[in-house]
Amino acid sequence: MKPHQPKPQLVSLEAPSASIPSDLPMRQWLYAWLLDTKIAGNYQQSLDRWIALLIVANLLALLFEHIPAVYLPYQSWFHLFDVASVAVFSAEYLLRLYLAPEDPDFKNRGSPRLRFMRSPFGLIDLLAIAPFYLQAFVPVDLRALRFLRLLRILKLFRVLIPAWQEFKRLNQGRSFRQKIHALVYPSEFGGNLHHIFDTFIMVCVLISVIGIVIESVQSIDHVMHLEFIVLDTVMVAIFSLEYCTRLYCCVEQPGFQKAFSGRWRHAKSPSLLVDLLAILPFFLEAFLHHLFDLRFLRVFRLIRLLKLTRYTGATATLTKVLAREWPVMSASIFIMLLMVVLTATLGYLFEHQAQPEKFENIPQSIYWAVITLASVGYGDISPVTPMGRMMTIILALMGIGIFAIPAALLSSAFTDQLRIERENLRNELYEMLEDGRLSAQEIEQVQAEAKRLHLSQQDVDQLIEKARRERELMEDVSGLPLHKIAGKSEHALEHYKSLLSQIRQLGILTDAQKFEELARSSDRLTDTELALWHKIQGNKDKEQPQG
Amino acid sequence: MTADTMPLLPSPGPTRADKLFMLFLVLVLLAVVAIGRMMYNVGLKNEISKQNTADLVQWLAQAGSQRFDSGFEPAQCAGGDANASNTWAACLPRLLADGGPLAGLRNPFTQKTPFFVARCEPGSAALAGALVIEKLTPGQPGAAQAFYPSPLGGDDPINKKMQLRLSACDHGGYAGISTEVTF
Repeated sequence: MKPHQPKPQLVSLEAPSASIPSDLPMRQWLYAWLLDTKIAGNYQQSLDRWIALLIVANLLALLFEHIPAVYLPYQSWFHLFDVASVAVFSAEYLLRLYLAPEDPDFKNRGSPRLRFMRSPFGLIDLLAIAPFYLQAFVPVDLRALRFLRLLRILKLFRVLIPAWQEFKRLNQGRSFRQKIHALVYPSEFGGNLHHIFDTFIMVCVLISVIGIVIESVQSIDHVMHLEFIVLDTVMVAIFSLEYCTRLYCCVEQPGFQKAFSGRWRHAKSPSLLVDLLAILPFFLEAFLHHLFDLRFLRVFRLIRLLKLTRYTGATATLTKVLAREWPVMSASIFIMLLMVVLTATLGYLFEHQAQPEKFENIPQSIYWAVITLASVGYGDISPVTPMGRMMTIILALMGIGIFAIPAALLSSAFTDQLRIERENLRNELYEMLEDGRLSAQEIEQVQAEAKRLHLSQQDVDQLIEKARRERELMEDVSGLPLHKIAGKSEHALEHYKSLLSQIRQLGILTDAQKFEELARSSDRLTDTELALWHKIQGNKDKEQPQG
Repeated sequence: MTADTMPLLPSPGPTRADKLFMLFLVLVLLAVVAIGRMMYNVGLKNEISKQNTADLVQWLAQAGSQRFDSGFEPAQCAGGDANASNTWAACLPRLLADGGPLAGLRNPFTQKTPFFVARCEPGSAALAGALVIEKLTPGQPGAAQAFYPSPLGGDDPINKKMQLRLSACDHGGYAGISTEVTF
C-alpha cells in the first residue's frame, strides 16, 4: 500500500528560469526579461547587481583619480573606463526610457516616458550621465566634473530603496533593536537589506585587507601614505559601528537574551573576538604610541580577513573536525614530539664533536630534526659523521609517516564531517517532506545548506530522492499484519482508503456486466454487498439493495 | 490588497536604551574620526619630511654638476682640489642657515631647522623629521653589492664627486624610502 503523495519538486541550485511567453510584443517582452521586479528568474536582479558593481567601480576610480601617482601614468585608462561606464549608463537610461510605458508606475498615466524622465530615479539616472555630455559642449572645471560624477553613487538607491521597503514591510510592528538585529544577523526578517549589509561588510573587509597588503610595499606607501590613513580610518569606523551594533542587538539572539551576561557571552564568542581584534590595533596604536612602539600591531589588522569566516561554514567544519579528532591528533603530536627530541639528542651526540658550530646544543639540533622530519631539508645544517648520516636516513623515512599521520587524520575527518553533514541535510529533507512537498522557505533553506556543503545539483536531487523514498517506505504499511495496521487509527484509515481505491480500480478493470450477472445469478453476493459495490463504483441508480 | 500595498503597522519608537545606543555610536564615530585626524596630521608631517628630503636631493643633484666650477655658492659646499678643506660639517649647516639655498626647510615635528643624524632608530621619537645622509662607497668589481652605505661623518671631505643616499626619519623613528643622488 502506498498512500498518495505528490512527488516533491526538485530544488534548483540555479536561479529559477522565468517563464515569459516569447510571443509577447517586443517592448513587453523586453520589460519582462530586464526590468520587471515581480517576475522571478528574469534578468532584473542581475542587471541591478552589475550596474551596482559598475557604480562602485566608478567610485573607486574617482578616488584613485585624486592620487596623482596612480592617475597620471594611467590617465588614458581612467578616461576609457569613464567612457565605457557612461556608455553602459546611457544604454540603461535609454532602455528604461523606452520601456517606461510598460512600467506599472507610469503606464496608467499620460505620457509615461515624460513621467519617467521627471521621476526621482529618472533624474538620478540622467544626472549620472549628463556631466559627461555637458563637458563636450561647455567647458566644465575638472573638480566640478568629478563632483558631478560622484552623483553616480545615487544610482545605488535603485537597489537600496526596494530593499529598504521590503525590510520595512518585514519588520512592521517590531522594535528598533529587533530591526537592527534583523539587519545585522541572518533571520527571516532581514530580507535583501541584510544581504546588502553582509555584502557591504565583505567588500569593506576585502578592500581593507588589500589596502594593508599594498601598504607594506614601501614604494607604494611612500606615495599613498595619506590615502592609506584615510582608508584605514574609514574602515575602522565601519567595523567599529558594526561591532557595537552586533553587541547591542545580540540580546535578540536565542541564548543571549540577558542584557549583561548575554552580551558578555556574545562578546567572548570567536566571531565577536575577531571583530574586536580587527579594530583594536587602530585604537591601541593611537592611545599607546607614546609609551610603546606599537607599529608591529599594524600587521594584526590582517585579522580582518577572519571576519569573512562569518560568511562561510568552512571554519566551523574545521573547528568541529579538530575538536572531534583531538584525542588522536594529540597522541600523534605526542609521538612526533618524542621523535623530534630523541633524534635531536642523538644528532647532538653524534655530530657535536664533528660540527660544534652547527650542532652547538640540543635546541639547535631540534631545528635540524624538525626540518629533516618534515621533509623540508633546507640544507643549512647537515650531518657529516657516518652515524649522523645513518640516523638522518632513518629520520627522513620515519618523518614521511609521522608527519603524514595528522594530515591523513584531518583529511579523513573532513570527509567524515562532510558525510555527517550530508546525512543531517537528508534528515532535514526527510522532515521537510512530511507534507510531500517543499515550501519556498524550505527550498531556500536547502539551497543555502547545499551551497554551504558545496553540493552539486545532482547531489541535491539524489538526497531529495533518497529522503522521499525513505518517507514512502516508512509510510507504506501494506506489508504489516492487519492487527498492526488496526493498532493505529491513521494507518487504519489509510488502509481503508487504499482498499476502497483498489475496489474502484477493480470495477474499472473488470467487465461490469458479467460481474453483475454472476453476482446475481449465483447468489455469490448478498443484495447489501452488491449495493455497496455499486455505491463504491458510484452507480447511483443501483445503490439501493433489491428485494 | 497585496503585501506591497498594505499599510504598514506602526512600529514602537526607539526606547531610551536605543537612544543611548545611537548616542554611543555617534561618540564611537567621533572618536574614530578624531584618531584618524590625528594620524592624518602625523602623516602630513611625514609628508613634509619626505618633501624636505626631496628638496635636499634636488639641490644636491643640481649642485653636483656645478660645484666644481669656480665661484660656486655656498663656498663651504664647493668641490675640487682648491676646496680640499671643505667638510660636511661646514657645508650642511650653511645650506639650512638663513640665506642658504635651503633656508626654508623646517622639521615639521619640531618646527625648527631640520637636523642630520647618522641613522634612524626605530622607536626613537626624538629623531622624527631628522634627515639621514649616507655615503655610498663603490664595492670591489664582482662584489654582491655595487655600493656599500656608511654613515656620513662631519669630518668627511667634500671636494670629490660622491654617491649619496638620503632619507628622513618618520614620527616613530623609522627610516622612510631612500633616494640616491650623485653630488
